[in-house]
Amino acid sequence: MTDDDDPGTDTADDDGTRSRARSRTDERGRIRITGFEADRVRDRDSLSEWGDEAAGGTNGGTAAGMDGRWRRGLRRFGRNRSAMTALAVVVSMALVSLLARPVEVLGVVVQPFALAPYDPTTILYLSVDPSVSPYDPPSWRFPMGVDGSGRDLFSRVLVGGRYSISIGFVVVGLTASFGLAYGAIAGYYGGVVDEVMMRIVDVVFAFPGLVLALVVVATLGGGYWQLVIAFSLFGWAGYARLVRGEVLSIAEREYVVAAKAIGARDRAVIRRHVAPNALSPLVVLASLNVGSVVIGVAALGFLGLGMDPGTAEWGTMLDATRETLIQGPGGRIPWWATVYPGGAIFVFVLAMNVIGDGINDALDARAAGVREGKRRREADRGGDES
Amino acid sequence: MSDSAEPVLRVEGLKTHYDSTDGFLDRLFGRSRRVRAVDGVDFELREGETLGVVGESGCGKTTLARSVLRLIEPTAGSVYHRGEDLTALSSAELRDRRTDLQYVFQDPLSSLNPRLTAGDVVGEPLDVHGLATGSERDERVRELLETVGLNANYADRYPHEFSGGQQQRLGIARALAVEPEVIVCDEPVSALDASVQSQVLNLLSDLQEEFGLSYVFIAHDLRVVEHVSDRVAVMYLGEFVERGPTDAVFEPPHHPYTEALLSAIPEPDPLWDGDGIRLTGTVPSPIDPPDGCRFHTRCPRLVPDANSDLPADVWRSVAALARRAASADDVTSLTATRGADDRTARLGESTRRSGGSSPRSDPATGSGPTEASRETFGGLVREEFDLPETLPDADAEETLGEAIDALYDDRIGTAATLLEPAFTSPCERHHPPEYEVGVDHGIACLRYDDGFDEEAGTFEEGAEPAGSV
Ligand code: SF4
Repeated sequence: MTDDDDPGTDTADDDGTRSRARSRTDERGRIRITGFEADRVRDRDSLSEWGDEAAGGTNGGTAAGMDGRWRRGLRRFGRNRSAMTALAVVVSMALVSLLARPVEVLGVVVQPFALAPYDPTTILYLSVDPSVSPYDPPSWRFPMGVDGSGRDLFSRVLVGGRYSISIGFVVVGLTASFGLAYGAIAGYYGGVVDEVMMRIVDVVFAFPGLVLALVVVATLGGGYWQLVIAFSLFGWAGYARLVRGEVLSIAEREYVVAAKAIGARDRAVIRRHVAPNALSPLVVLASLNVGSVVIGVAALGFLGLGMDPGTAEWGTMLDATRETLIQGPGGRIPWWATVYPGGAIFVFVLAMNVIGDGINDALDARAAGVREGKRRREADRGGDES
Repeated sequence: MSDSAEPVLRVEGLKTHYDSTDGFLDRLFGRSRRVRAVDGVDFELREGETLGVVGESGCGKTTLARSVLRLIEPTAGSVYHRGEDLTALSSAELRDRRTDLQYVFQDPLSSLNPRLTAGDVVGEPLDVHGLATGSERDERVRELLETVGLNANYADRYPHEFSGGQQQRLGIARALAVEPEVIVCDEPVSALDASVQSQVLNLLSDLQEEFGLSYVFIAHDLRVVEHVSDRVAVMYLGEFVERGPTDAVFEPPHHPYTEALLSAIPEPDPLWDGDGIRLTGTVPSPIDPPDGCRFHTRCPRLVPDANSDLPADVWRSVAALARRAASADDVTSLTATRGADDRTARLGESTRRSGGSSPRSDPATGSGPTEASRETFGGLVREEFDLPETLPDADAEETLGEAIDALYDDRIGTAATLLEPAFTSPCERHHPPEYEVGVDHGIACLRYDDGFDEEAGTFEEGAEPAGSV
């Protein structure tokens, strides 16, 4: 309700209040000077000291409060069954791909496990079993069949996750942090700074992201870090725009004025009131974007522009078997050569999106579930009868 | 009340103007428009008292409240707190001062960060000023919550989980945390239900008693202000038009604006004779406030010109016509359009007969009155401004007749120039200063000037105040 309500529009329903107000008017004088009650203040101080002694000083109450907020979000996320399932899927895919083959750093084995039975580059009929031929269907020995070059698909799908998943997270990490800084600066300083920075973002947005990535990869050549660069170079623009919009609107909010009225400094206002409220949409966007980066990497791979041909990366694997989609040797279609890598991409991206939605729900403090709604109604009913 | 005491807060000539230039093009072409939201306000706030500030929406109350605490930077003027000018303080000094001066917002929910728990909201001022840490802080937070009538166990709930009244209590607790002297309350109850309003008001007055607080209490609701205030200031278009002790302001003599506000209070009440003075129109834009007395465009007690022999209310009606003609760009807005009215309905029929059968010429729909006959048109204009068939004064009637002729020919400008010299009020020429009408009671209205003749209802020849426009 705003103050353009005509004072004359209130009708008889608040008669009780008004008559009470009227009778209290006689006592108008009672809220005159009673002096600044220093006694009261002293009382309060000693009370506080007593509390301090009793419980022992634990500082960082603020930090605890902030933790509480995230803890509550975490709890809400934990109750979200589909998000938890998706998280389990992503974590296990990441773990499996990590444990698929031993990892060596500078000749030292740091990860000795090998879940995949074969090295992803091993050509089975040369070094393992001459009876294996390309495009052998799935069997007990090769659960996902054999690809066109006679390599074990199961091993390749497991190891392939290393590339796809890590590129997704690395790219999102880089772009989101840069976008956060960029957008916050633009939104906070506003004016000309904002104008110039956002025009740059507009230019980036004028091109489809995948085309830009394609140009970069075509220029720099394929490879892991080239892919990271290709997707990071222009991927931050979305975050920047999102954060800038959030910061702009948050800076206008009344609770920011309230924080200033309390006497908080600008830095504290931004850290405590502006940034946290801008952060959660960023986290949501980031978690949703991991999936699209993975798809983008796969798409470049499928176009033959991602990793070197023959690399066990999901998109590149699809590319290698592209021609078999129509008709394989001998008139049959070796569906396993495309379905398993494609399925891996699909499951991972779907899981990431479900996680993103889950984070969105968990971080939105205002998304009142049934429980909160009920509590609020109770508060409405009982709270003001004090 | 100790009148001699040094006021806690003294505001002198406070002005807050800002540019309402929106968009890059406006800035490029220098099309800047100054909004004079607060335009020269003075007041004193004494220790332990409540100063109520009333006014319609758009009169600059919120800007005033925020300018006093420099949440909006004032353009000119000074705010003295305990003798020190807040407008001269550096931002660091000002931050320290905020432990003495606090603010309560109109909309409790939007003033609370949705991501902070009640405990953090109330604890933040303690952290900012390093007033308490650790378990001392937690203890203080619980105590503050209980002080404002909230359950201390609600400390880890979020603002949206509270009811509106509880949210406002939370806002009050936050303001109390620094143990301030002065709290500026910007319509603290107008967003709340009537039943909750009185609870929050009672809380505020209990806190005042307990902690010796002084309030600047902004509201648009006179009942609320009467209930809480020791002194009242009535604000109109960025200025105070009347100030004084609550009883004095609520009893005659009144500023015409205060009178109109009071008569708009609905309840039949022995204290006020609800003579139903209605304020027409809305608050004019503060971008280009009216000359002279800012209230003259709506004033029901506008002072007639000394040379006029018309009865005051007829004179005011013609003056209203003159003013509307000067600003209107369409004759339709100067004619009666009330279709439900019997007389208008009849007029409508005659118009249809004489002005063609097109429904667009029906004055009841407000379109095409100039297609009506001259008499009908004159009738419509007179009806809109409540003028009699003929004015009692022959000269005036002649001028009015000519003006209506001009309007009928769609020459609004000519009509305005005809009417203007004959129907300009002293109120349009002079900006009224504040006249003392009682102890500590000032009214900014020319009717309280010494030269004003109560009997004649106007100024004697040559007795007009010399004040400038
Ligand atoms: S000065 Fe004139 S216009 Fe202003 S309030 Fe008084 S009578 Fe009305």
